[in-house]
Amino acid sequence: MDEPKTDGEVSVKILVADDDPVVRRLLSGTLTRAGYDVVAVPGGAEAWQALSGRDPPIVAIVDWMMPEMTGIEVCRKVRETASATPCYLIVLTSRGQTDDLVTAFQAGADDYITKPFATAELRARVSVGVRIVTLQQQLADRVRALEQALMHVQQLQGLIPICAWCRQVRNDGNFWEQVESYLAKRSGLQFTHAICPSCRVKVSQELADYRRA
Amino acid sequence: MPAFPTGGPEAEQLPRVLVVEDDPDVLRILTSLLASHPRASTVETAVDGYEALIKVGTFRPSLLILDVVMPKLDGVEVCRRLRANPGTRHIKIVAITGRTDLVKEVLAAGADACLTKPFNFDRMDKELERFLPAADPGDL
Repeated sequence: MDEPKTDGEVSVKILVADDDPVVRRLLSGTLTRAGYDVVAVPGGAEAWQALSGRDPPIVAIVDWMMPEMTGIEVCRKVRETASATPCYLIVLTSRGQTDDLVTAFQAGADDYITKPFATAELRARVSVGVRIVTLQQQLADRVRALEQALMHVQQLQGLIPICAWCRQVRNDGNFWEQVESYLAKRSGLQFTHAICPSCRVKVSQELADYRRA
Repeated sequence: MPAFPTGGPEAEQLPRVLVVEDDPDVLRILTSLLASHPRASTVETAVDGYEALIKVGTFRPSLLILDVVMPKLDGVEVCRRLRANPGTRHIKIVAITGRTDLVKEVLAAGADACLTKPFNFDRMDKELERFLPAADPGDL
């Protein structure tokens, strides 16, 4: 048994597109038993509809030869459309010649399965697709998080004008503010005001002098 | 206005001042400033807002000298909590901060005055004079 579930209890959605009802039933039966959430359609147009809609399947098995819209055309259309998390496309074909496979890959297919197929191989290839798409999603999430962190860091870059006398800094709004306020607003830094030894001696002396006066 | 006792057996009747400051050196300067002030007071210290709230309950000060940026519980939150409680609402609070941008916030939270660091002795003295005579009238 493969491990189709990726995150929590949400099952992975797989599209199956084949105009032959027998093959369609075989594919969806095998994948449903493997724990996937299977969406089965009879043609390329329906497949494209499912893949371009909301919450699309992350792996699609499309038969090459289908009336109206072939599996190859579905692959091309999917690849023409930009998506943050691209679908993993498996072409189902009885044509196992090198030229045919090259055509499928050039159209945008990620993998192929030749008919007749062994169900174990089908499950294995689908699980590869799920793994790749999941990795892509995790990578995209990570990139997004890093981009946000980078934006935060960039706020503290560049040349900051600081008054040589009172040490206030000029902010983006052309106002002067304390360096500790400036940094607190733009980073996780917090300052707590202390007094260094030499200033402590000086201030204690000043206090004594002030009291005497 | 009752006369102020200057020490001796009446020392218990002196106004109680709680100084809250997380930096030990700044705390020492503040306590010596209070100790050398013409108006006498009994001084207790706390190093964060949490300790301050506990000592408010046990030491029952009439005046708080309160740092604003502190670990655990900051001065703004201490002000809010003291003002929200009917038993501590009367306590006078003089906040001190090195962050000029926090002055408004701490005054809005309920501080009676807010001075900025480095503090000016003259201004500190004036604030102490303003709040010390009025402090602890019940006990005098």
